[in-house]
Amino acid sequence: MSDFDKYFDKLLKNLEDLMKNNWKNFLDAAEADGKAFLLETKGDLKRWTRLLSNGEITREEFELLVGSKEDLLKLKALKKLGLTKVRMQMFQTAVIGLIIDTAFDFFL
Amino acid sequence: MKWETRVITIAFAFLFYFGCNYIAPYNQHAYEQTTSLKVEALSLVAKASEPYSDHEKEIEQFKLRMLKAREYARGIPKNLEAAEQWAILTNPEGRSMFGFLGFWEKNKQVSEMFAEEYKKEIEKHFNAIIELEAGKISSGS
Repeated sequence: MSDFDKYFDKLLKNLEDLMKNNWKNFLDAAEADGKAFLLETKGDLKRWTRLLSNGEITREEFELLVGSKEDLLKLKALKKLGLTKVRMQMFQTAVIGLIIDTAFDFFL
Repeated sequence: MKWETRVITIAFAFLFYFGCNYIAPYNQHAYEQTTSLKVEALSLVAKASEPYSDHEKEIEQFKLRMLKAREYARGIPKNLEAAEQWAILTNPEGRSMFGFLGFWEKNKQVSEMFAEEYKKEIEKHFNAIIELEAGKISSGS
């Protein structure tokens, strides 16, 4: 096995570790965020239906409140998309560092 | 290091670095502008149980600042997500900030309880923009 092959094998191993560490926390956080949103929405809907039935808010006001959740969902989805791009950029920088550091470990 | 390896490593690095820049870097002005407008928006929503006509001038000035912020976000390259978020907030047909202002104008004033509940929602709407901008800091971009 040539030095370059050894370098490349080591690089792939390091890359695998980097991917696990880099994305797992991010995906776990996204899942937790989604669950928190659903729970929060459930609580809000419960409160709003009570306010509506007590006559403390009008039907139109209730509709606007519920509709605002749909807009919030879109805003959150856009945030998630943007943050995924940020994470990709960070990952890209980490890969470059890995390629260079592993090369230095092997060849210098 | 062999020269071939050096060339491959550098080429790989350049490809990654310059090949794909996914999103605009953190923008301090955009962040400050959004946090400032959030405070103004919350203050306005809290006043919605009062007649719209009493706050007309204040609302028009606020709307203008919101539109300026939308145009600023739209003008930043690779800032599609934030620009789209601003489009939602400023859509008069939507259910976010401008939609709310239209509702207030149409109904002259809204119930106190509704204003209180809507204030919590609009805070989350602005937070989605703020959190996206703040999230760019960690990338060091």
